[in-house]
Amino acid sequence: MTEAMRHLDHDQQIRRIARLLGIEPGQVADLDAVPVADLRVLHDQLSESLFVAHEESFARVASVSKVIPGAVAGKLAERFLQPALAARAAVMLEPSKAGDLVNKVSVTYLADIAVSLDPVRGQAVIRAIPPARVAEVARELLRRDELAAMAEFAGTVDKAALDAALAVATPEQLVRVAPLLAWNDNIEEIVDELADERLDAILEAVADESLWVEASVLLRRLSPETLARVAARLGRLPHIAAAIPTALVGELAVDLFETGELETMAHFVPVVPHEALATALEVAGGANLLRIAPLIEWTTAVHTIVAALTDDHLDGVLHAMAEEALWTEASVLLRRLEIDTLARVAARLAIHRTIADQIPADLIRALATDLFADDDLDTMALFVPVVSGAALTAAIEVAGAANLLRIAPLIEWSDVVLEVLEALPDSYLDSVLGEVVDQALWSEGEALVEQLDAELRGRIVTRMAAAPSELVDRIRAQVVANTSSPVLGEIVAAVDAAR
Amino acid sequence: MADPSSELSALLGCAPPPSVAALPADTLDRLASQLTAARRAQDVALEGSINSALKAVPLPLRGVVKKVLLG
Repeated sequence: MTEAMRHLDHDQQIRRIARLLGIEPGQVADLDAVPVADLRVLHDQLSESLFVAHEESFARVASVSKVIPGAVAGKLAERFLQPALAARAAVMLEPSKAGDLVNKVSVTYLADIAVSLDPVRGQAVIRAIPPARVAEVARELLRRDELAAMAEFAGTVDKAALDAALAVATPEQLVRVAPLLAWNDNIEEIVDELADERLDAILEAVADESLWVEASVLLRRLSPETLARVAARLGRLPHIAAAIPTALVGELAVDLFETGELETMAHFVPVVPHEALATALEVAGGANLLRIAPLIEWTTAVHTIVAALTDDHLDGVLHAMAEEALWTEASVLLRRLEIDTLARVAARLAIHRTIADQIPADLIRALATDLFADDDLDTMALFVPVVSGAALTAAIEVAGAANLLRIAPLIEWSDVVLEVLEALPDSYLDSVLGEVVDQALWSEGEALVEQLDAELRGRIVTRMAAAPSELVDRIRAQVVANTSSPVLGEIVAAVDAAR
Repeated sequence: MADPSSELSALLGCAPPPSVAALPADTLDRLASQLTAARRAQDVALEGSINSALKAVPLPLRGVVKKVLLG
């Protein structure tokens, strides 16, 4: 609950205590420092004390209903019994008698009683009141803005009566009373069952009356399913979505990330304002950012926000990835990132080599598959110097010979790269030779062989010597015509010597 | 001088919440006084209500109502 909402709730509880004692709220201002939950307890203790003090008298008053007709009892009560006293006597009534009596007194009197009724002790009596009558009392309580009493009342009645009570509330009243309700299954079911039109009206009221504090509390009590519906309705009400305060989304995000309700959070991603979304993703933390990545719609706004993450944020993501082994999630996130951000990730991995070394080959294989499919060799080249040999091997497997040739001039060559290439089977080297010829990748082939060590060059000579004469002849001709590489020249000469 | 917290506890029939018990003595004292006054007012109001109501009960029912209310 936010500070503002706690303040509202606090005020309501102070009012209840003051009413109970028959004094003004200002006369119990000393209780301002007491937490809301303790004020509720104190209220109930005071109420119990007042009840117990004259319990026998209340029982006698209640017993009158057994000996005189309900209509007479109702008239006498309304005329002579103060509502607070009637409330204490009422809890001693037989429930069936109470159900009859509530139709013999005015709604105004009933509402007066309701604000003083002990909801726990009076539960059986309250539940005997027909839903239609409950609705009338609720309307009167709402008219008087007796939200705390309404909330206490609503928390006691059964589902049918609660439904009737909440149905008479205007959307604005519903939003204002909802945070004060002791949330239970009945309330949750009723809220879950609200029609789309009612939800829309509630959202309109929140925006029109700026009831964001109340909405914040309410939203965080909704079931994931209803929250998802709210997000969907907001998608149809962009003027409301645009007005949602950043702080509200941040608070909601904190709650949802804490409770692991990432799918629910994901529903809000496409509808909340940019600033609010930025705050939500900021509070997510590295692990949650990874976990939510596969669930969200990657809108332009999301890309913009992710691109604006600081190096510290990116490092947080990378650390979480390694510490919590969120490799699957990381794979999705990396493949969603725009190229500039991906390049930044590669740069951060270059700084955090211990993390980079832990990245599983499968993750890099998936990333490489995407990057090669997109012909994005520049970005792939950024990852070559930072990932492990096993990951590089996986990347080369999906690259294919042609892509290996094309990326060769772009990458930073290292012992790790050479070791990976040395481990490639002869069939792969044959493919590389074939691609050089078939796709006329002469300059790429030249760049590649110039980086190779003597051992690899020797293997290439061996493979070429074993290749069909026609292929070797074509290579020789192309080398003479298209390259001035002394390395290639040496290789061709070595092949000729070996044949 | 009586312990205000004990006095309030005695009136409540139980210990108040710790955050209330920790309030300054004069606050607890005032709260106890307010509760005592409320109980006294309730006593007076109950008696007044019963007496007034009895006078208004239809005559044929007055006896039985009086018996129920006053024993």
